[in-house]
Amino acid sequence: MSAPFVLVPLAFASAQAPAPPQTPPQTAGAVLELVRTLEPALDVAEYAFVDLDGDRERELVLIGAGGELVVHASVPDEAAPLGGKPKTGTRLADPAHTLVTFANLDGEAGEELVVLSPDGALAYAFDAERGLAPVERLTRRARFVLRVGKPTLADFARDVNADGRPDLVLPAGEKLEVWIQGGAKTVENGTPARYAAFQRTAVVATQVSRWGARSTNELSDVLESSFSIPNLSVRDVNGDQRPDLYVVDGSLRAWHLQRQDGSFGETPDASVDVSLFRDTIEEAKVRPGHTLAISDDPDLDSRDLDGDGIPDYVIAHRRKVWVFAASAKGPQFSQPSTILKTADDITALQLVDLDDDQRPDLLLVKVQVPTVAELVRGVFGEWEVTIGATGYENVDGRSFSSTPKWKNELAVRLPAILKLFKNPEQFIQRFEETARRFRGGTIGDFDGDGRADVALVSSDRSELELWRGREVPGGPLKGSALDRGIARVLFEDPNTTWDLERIAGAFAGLAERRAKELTGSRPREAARTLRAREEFKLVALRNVDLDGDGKEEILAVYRTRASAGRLSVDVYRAR
Amino acid sequence: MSLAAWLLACQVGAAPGPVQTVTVPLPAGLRASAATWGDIDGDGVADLVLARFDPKRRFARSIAVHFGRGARAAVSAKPDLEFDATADTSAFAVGDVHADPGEEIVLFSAGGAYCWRPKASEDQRFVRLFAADFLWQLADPERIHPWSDGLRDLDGDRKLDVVVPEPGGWRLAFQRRGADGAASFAESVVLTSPPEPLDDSAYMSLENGSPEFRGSRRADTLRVSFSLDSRTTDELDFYDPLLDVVERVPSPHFFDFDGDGDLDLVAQTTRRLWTYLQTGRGKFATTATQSAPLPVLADRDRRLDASYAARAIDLDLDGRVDCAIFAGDKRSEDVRTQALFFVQGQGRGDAAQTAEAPLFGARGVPSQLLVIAGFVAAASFERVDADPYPDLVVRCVRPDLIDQLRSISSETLDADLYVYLNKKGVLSKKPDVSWRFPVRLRGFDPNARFVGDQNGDGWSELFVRAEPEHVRLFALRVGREGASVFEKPLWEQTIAPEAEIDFPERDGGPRGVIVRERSQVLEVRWR
Repeated sequence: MSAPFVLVPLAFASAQAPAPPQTPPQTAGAVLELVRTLEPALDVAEYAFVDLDGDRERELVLIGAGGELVVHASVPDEAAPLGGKPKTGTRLADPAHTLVTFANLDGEAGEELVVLSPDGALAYAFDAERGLAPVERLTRRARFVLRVGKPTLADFARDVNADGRPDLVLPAGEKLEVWIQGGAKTVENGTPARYAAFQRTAVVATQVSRWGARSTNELSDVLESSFSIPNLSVRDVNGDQRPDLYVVDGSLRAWHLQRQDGSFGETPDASVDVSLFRDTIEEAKVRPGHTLAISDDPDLDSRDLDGDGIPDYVIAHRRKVWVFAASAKGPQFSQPSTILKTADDITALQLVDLDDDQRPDLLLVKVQVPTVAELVRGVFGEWEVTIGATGYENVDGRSFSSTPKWKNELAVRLPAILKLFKNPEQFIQRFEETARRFRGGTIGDFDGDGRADVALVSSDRSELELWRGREVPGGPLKGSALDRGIARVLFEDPNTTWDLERIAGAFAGLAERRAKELTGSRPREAARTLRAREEFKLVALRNVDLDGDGKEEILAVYRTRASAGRLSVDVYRAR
Repeated sequence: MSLAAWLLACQVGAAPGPVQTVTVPLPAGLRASAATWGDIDGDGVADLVLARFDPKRRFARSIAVHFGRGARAAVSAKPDLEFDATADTSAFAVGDVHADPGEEIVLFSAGGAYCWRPKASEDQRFVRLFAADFLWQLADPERIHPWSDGLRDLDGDRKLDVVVPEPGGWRLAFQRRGADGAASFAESVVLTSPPEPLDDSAYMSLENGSPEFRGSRRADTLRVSFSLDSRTTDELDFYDPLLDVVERVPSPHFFDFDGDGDLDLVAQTTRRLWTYLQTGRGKFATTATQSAPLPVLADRDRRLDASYAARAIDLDLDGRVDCAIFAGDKRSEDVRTQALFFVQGQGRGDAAQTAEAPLFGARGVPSQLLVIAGFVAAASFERVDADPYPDLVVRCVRPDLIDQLRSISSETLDADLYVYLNKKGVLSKKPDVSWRFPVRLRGFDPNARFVGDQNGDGWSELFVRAEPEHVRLFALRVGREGASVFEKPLWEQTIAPEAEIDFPERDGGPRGVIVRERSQVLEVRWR
């Protein structure tokens, strides 16, 4: 049997694979070395770097579009990682209807490949003889029947009840089935099962988003069917430190609290039909010169208002806002702690900590629909959309001030509609340009000195750049920093007019600030030229310890532009 | 009938008469999501077929049939037949696919096509026609979408075959009848759609399972969106999607490409036009047999061009497919649209076609070029005058400052309708009919289309919805100076502002429109 992909030793890389040109500028002492190039000769649907056998070395698992399972591992004592002969396992039976993920099902060293298909849930384990092969059916009844076209990685093996063992979340059309691991191991032919039994403990509704294009009028039409199924929303809503289930089903919101034994009730412990919350004032419609009403459905938002660790709830409809404090019993919607009436219709509601006192305040936003005159003027010249922001202070964790503490009006200045229609690409490119400034990268310990190193793609996306030994701040803007950002933009910035350039500039500023934080504004220590962008699209930059030496390798993963199924992986080491 | 006599006979909303309007009430709480005509009972009279739903109950969807009562009589107000759709029913069509008399309702679901036989015993009422991977695998909780393009006689045996778009191509299932008249769809072929290079689908690219950028354009909508990671500390935030599935395939078009008398499949990707030849009765090549580079790339830039469209049409009625491409002229200071026509056999000089490049020619130069002022919102080929050649009908908007200032007070936007008559495959250089009409600036689907000759003068009449609550039918006045639109409508009707209008097309069937209002359906037949 021929190997399903070609491993290109470095010495022959240039002859057998379009390996990146060797680059150069290296600062004294630092080296970024290309140690392996992989060019799998199969259409790869998914890939993952996983420790399958528990040896603390991550293997590269390739899942082919046709269901092929190929594992590539490192060879002990070989200098470059991933040098072993690729091991082909058992082909997936129904690749077009298969979801895959990796999880440690039994707590033993090494992860299993978990497969959901019309045949139920199966666990595949790796051994040197058979490669990745099925070892046990977890349950036949957890049948996945949707068509995904090719094996698809999905995060369906999650520890839903936080008991340390992965459970299964099965997408079943408009429902999600929750299968909890924990039942007694079954015995078949005298042999006990390898994994604990899975039991379906809840079936909850989910909001599937759909898109479709069905027109066949034009030769240029493309028929499209798309859908998106949200993952299970799991969060502790009663402060018992056990995650609970949150369900959205039309206007119904429901919470299934987790029991002590880790199970969930089939029927919700708390629920509310938000459509029952109605303000009797006349319905706002999208009318020129009036406040934009996105929907006449009530809006539900939630954050911990009183700092007791239990999320509280706010419902808004038209001009009325109800606040509900939750307790250790969970959410409740019968006793509002306060009811607020606003002077104008609301476009959007958000709970944001505007004054940095750790208690979220109530932010109401109204967007003014331009008048017909403004719209017509906007056909030929710049035009503005006015955004009114009002902040009500969180007084005691149970209510908000009756009058707004913060108030401001912002204007978003937009280019002429004609200009936008005539050349939309010009505006898209402006934002793409900005997006490119958020440089892809990865943070890890590349040299094993215990300190974080940073590898970033250069602004022009042509090089991989290295900085070693930086103390780097955490991930993206979130939590209180995000709240502060919102407060600054809405209420504190004296310049209240935003045009597209300023918006793009703000994003670009964020990107540059982040890059400075990561690099400490120091010059790079080493760099390598990435593959030619005309031929390859860089789809991921990862840091993975492939050989268990405590030093993470940097992996650049590409898709070939001529054929999206083809994958190329370049492995770098930093010294 | 003369125009005057027709005008006299035509009364607004009157029935019976040349325009026949019938009101079909919907059962309390139900709404209609689609409507069409079909001869379900086989009596030769078109029946009204409605897809209905209950907006308060997800997947409470049904199909109802109101029998036609003769050429001049109304359809029945109460449904004569109805059935609840199963939760997996995604689309429907109406056509004769079974030995039973009359037409059947064909249902499409993720696993294939079925037909509903209203007169069969209960256990035989649903018949599976064939298995397929129908592109739209997830049913909508409210709508059963019409897929009338799915029924077509592909192999010329006068029996309807079925076209099913699948994720990787198109399944063509051919209807065969046994000696006893029994229908079978066992014979089928799957044509594989050509692969799209990674960048060519980038206007809707996917990375790590999530759409990064989506763009789409319809006649009245241009939509562009970026996805940003907007995770906040909101306790109600969902996690990342558990599953994102995006499946697409180019729209299939059936024309005779090579002039051998049978239909071939033509489809367009970003860079090329592909042809799958039919070489014998139902014998299609499973992969494209010919392809040609598109003279105008359908890349992201072009797909967001408000005027862009490519259409397949036989302009000179020589039996071979021709192509029309509309694209905004980005080099022009003014807003204008170029219309490029590639007519097989008509190219001369640089536009000359060759045996290898029979449509676009070796250099991609059109055989005819028109320049149209403004954005083209929609362009179609319709029969407007008496000859059988399809004429070009363009609806467009010209951004003119003075007109737009006027529209501030009227809250309307001036739209233009141009008709370029087709003289044996060559379109007039200037519009033969030019009509400017105000369109109300409100949320509704404006419409202006020719609906066939209703008054016997040989010219088609124009159906217009320029305001949400009115539909009108206009005649063309033809004189020495050319043709123009009579300002006084032949017929008009008040409808609900939120109404939606269907234009079902049936060969030899009734002509008219079906207006779907919130609690009733208006069936408007021209004759």
